[in-house]
Amino acid sequence: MVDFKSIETFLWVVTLGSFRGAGQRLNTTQPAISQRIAQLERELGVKLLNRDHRVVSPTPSGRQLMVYAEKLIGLRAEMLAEVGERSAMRGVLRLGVAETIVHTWLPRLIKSVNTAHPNLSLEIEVDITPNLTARLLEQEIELAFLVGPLSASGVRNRVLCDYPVGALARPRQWPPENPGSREISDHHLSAQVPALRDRALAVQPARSAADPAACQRLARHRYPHGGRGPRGRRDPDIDR
Amino acid sequence: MAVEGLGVAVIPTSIVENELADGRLQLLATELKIPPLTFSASWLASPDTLAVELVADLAARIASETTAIVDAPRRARH
Repeated sequence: MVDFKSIETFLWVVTLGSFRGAGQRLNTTQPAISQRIAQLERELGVKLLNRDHRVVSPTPSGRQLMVYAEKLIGLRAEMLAEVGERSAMRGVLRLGVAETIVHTWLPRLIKSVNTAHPNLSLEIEVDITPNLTARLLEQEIELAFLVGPLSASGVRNRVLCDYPVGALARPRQWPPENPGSREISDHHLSAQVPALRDRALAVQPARSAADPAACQRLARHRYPHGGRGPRGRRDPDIDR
Repeated sequence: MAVEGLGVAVIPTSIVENELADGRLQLLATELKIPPLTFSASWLASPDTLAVELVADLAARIASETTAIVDAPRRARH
């Protein structure tokens, strides 16, 4: 009897292109994934996957099955949403969060998720946007709250909030030639925050982060000291 | 570091509400228009994203409520 578990396993192996990836996604081991696929192939009597390359790809029968697998798993999700109790939503959701969110409304969200979906637990990591983007595209996290929206293919976005950005200093300290003034010249500001200089020059700040390798290169270039801003102050999210 | 007087921080003002309220930090006027940061919930499309979408929905609701609270006194001052 073909069950949901084997169909879901097959779906994730094809989607992620590897047994290892599917194992991580479904919280199980690679041998367990192989076994489920082998059993599914035995039950259907056809070969579903080509394993001869480094990337696993579906056979023609596998592609046919994939059409139904997507429908079945999508329909199951819809059924659970429509009919199931709220507490039926279970499992672990890996969530990546930019620092600004941690300091604003993340605690409220965690409380609200715990109340609405008590069997769903959040595994939270905090990082800068380029790293979160790379982790999302690598499927190491399932959801990210970051400086977006992202324009990479296959990414769905939902805009959450706009936060105004300001230049902030201790009162009566800046600028040095005129302490007590509440103004700062462009010159001083750019000198203080080199990241802003690039940002101000760019008419449209580069928002796309389609290529994770490029994101990581950018992150390394911008944060050569391991995630710290040029002046040692960690500038959350300002620089992407 | 900005609180220690070691420089100027260019960051979203909403994360330093307390420091601004008690005077440890002040907002500097700038000619440079610093664009606001837009945050989004982002995920990869797949057939089973029910949990992800539920959490993204909750986040959108909470974020808009929080932003409304942050904005209200600021508008009132103008």
